[in-house]
Amino acid sequence: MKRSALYLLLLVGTGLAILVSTLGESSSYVDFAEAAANPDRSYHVVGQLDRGFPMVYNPTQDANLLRFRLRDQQGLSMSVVYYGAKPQDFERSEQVVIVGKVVPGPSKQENKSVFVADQILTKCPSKYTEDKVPTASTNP
Amino acid sequence: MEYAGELLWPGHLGHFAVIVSFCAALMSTLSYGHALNGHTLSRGRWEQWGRWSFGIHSAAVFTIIATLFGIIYFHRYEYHYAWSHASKALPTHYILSAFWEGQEGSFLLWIFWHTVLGWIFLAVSGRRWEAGVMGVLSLAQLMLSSMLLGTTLGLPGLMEWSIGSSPFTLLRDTLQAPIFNRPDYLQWITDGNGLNPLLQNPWMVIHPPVLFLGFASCTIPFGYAVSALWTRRYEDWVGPAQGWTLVAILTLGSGIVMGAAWAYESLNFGGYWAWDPVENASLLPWLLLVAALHGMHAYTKSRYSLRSTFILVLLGFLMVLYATFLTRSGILGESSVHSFTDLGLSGQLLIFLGAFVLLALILLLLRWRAIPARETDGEEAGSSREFWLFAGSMTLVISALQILFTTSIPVFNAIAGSNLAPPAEVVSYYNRWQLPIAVIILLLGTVAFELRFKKSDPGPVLQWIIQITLIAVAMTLLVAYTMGIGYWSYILLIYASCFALIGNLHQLYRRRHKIMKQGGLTAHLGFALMMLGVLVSSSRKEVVSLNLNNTPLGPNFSPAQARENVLLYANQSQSIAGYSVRYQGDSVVEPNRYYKLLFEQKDEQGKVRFSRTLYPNAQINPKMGLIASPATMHFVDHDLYMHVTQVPDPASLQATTQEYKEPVLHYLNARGDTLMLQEYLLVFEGLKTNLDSAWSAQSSGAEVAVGAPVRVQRVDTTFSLMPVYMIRNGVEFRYPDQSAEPGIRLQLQSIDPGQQQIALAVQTTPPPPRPYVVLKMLRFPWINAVWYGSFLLVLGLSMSIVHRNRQYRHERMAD
Repeated sequence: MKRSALYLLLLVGTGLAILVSTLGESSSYVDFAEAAANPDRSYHVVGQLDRGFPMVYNPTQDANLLRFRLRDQQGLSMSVVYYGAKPQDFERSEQVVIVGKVVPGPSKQENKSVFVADQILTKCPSKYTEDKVPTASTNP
Repeated sequence: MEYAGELLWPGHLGHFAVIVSFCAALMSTLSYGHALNGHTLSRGRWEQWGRWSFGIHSAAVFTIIATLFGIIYFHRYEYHYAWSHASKALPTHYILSAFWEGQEGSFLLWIFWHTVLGWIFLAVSGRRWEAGVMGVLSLAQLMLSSMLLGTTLGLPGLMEWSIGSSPFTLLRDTLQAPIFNRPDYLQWITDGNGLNPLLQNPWMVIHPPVLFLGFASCTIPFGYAVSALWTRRYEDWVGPAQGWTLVAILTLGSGIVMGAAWAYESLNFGGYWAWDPVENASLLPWLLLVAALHGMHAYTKSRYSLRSTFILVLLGFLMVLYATFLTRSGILGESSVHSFTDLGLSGQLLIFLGAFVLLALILLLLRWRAIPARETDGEEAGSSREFWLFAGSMTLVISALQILFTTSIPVFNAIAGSNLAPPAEVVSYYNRWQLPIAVIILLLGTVAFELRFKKSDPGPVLQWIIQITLIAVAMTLLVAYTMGIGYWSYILLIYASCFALIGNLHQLYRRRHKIMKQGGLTAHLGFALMMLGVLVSSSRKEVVSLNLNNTPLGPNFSPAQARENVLLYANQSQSIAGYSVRYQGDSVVEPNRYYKLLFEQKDEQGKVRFSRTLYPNAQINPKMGLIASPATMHFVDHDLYMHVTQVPDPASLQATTQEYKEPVLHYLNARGDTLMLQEYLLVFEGLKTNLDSAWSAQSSGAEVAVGAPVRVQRVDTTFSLMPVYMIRNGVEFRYPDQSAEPGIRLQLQSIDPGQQQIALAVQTTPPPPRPYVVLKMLRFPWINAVWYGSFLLVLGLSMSIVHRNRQYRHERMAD
């Protein structure tokens, strides 16, 4: 009995350690305002492509530079830089999650700062099974 | 309204078969339940009832599958399932993939394996545990077939619950569209939505069936454990359940490895494992069953750790259900690359999970005190093999716990309403935890083979450990040095892998006369090789297409955001990873576009000593955009892996009408003068006064006839142009000259003969679009160790099953 109690203690202890580390390490989903307030921390920001601004990706000039504006769930829009190729199906995405941090502009002006993304996750819930049937007028 | 052209009877048949399968599963569950509780007299009768019901259930399941398959195969697009998962262009073998692409189809796959395994169990494992195991299997079938019911229960308008989602729903009942107001709507629906192009892949044909066979196999050990607790026969279930646990570990493991190989070979995830929630979800039951297997082994040899074995076997199957809930309820949301649409089955899935959790928990609590624990005499301590087996099991449990917690973050969020996201560096987070666990497991698992059950003499064991350690240290240094690995925790894992490799090889050598019985050692050897491969291939994985385009780095650039993609223009060589790489155009095999890349290495004399052509491909899908599939060059000690990340739209490469721009005047002073203009380099070769005979007609009688030969260089070509200037009868004539294809046009505007200076009017067209690909290329060293290791692991498990089966038959004969 003594020994199994020891195992149990060990197991519970490790479990707690894992839990604490998971909570400690976990990033959080925030909006741009909060990400801008802590420019050194890495965050997940969920939002939608701000289609009022052009997305810039020009592979013949720089295959590793994608710029776009993202509107977070509070409605705040911010420019985002990603040093990589444009993700597949980016324009079509309904929701974008960017992981990275805010880099303040050189002049410390609020509106000059950009979000530098290390990762972009796109979400297209109805990705392929888009339930769209032809309408009689568009088909033969 | 009467609709024209619909074929309704298969739908009715299928739906009817679903209801029959559900009812028969209920019948079977109840019968076996009775058999479990009944006295010996009535037991046989109830079991017979159960068997019959299970037979009817199986027939119904086969009917459902045949009907659904027929609907897809014959393109009956009046059914939503066929319409949304298949299309006419789909080759036959992908009809299978279309079948299990949807949630309903994959539930069917699971149901199918349950029925198959049920009959194998009845045939192979005899009557002793029939009631419990088949009862549990039937209960699972009951839950699973309820997912396909697609009916509504309750009071209409007041409380309605829709139960399940039927794969036989009609398109017109699923979607709202004006087209369904027409009785002839079906003639407008000419083709289905088609199979997701990512899944049009041979792996998609083989991976899901194997994985679901694995999931289904986990039910049987669970059935044994439940049965043992229920009927208070706590001990002799372990033997037969062990064989089935091995089957579950083998099939589930193969399914996971196939998934990894699929991800590596044909998806552009850039690796074989990404700690994605869906991958994790399938790993959890595997880890727990491996832990359970070791517990069972310890128990059969020395009556040790029975209670924890119960818990682990039960948890293994519960993890399958939890994984099902995670991946199918839509709760993972944005944290997974695997997209699963929510069919509104979350509630039902929770009931499924909850029912089995309660069953296991209540039984365990009721019987806990009665489960026999070995009388410990205080001696069994550190030197017994069972203790090490147990410690290994617990380490696996810790591994599973860590994966479980981190994967469950979205579940915590859903319960607590919190806003946690997975760790930003999720892969390194997992690795930080799992690496020391792997080290411990490798060391424990190797030493355990040197120990005896009950008690070993520590002297020789220590001696053995020291000998193996010495060799392992030498090997570790060699590996770390040649691979350039200097990080201490990586070196630790290399050491543990080498220790396990050498230790297990030594044990195999010692037991070479009974080699066929060494499934365990073989599997351990495979695991060690796999870990070594995993460590080297992932820690020394290298993006070789890094920062090759010399693009200016932006102001916010940090080294962490290295630019991993390289731009390759057609027919222009680029040196990547020691190869001269040339993009030579593309070819189309619908639906894929193949980009031809020539890899060459030349020796010092410029002779080609290595040449290979690779075809990474991509699909430019109208619905999903660019879907790239990698191409890989395999070598013994490394793989070179590449995929396109961006390609021009083929339409944009069609030469548009090339209008010359407004002329610009440039002055060239002397012979040899050069002029840089966009992509052109012009070299003035001096004035030419004696024009050749081609000009005789124009120049006869002219006062002045001068040509200005200009050599024009472009990246890919060089040519000469000669605009001519004449004065005839006091009138200036200018004869321009231009490149064969639209590009550049020169006109000699004026000449200053004294200074040899000319004024050249240059017109250019915008540069023609040039085909290009943007490529990402990675190097995976030692990746083969991962595959060979997994192969050995699978081989070892198969050997154990064969051995176990033989032993089991032996025991039954002896009874």
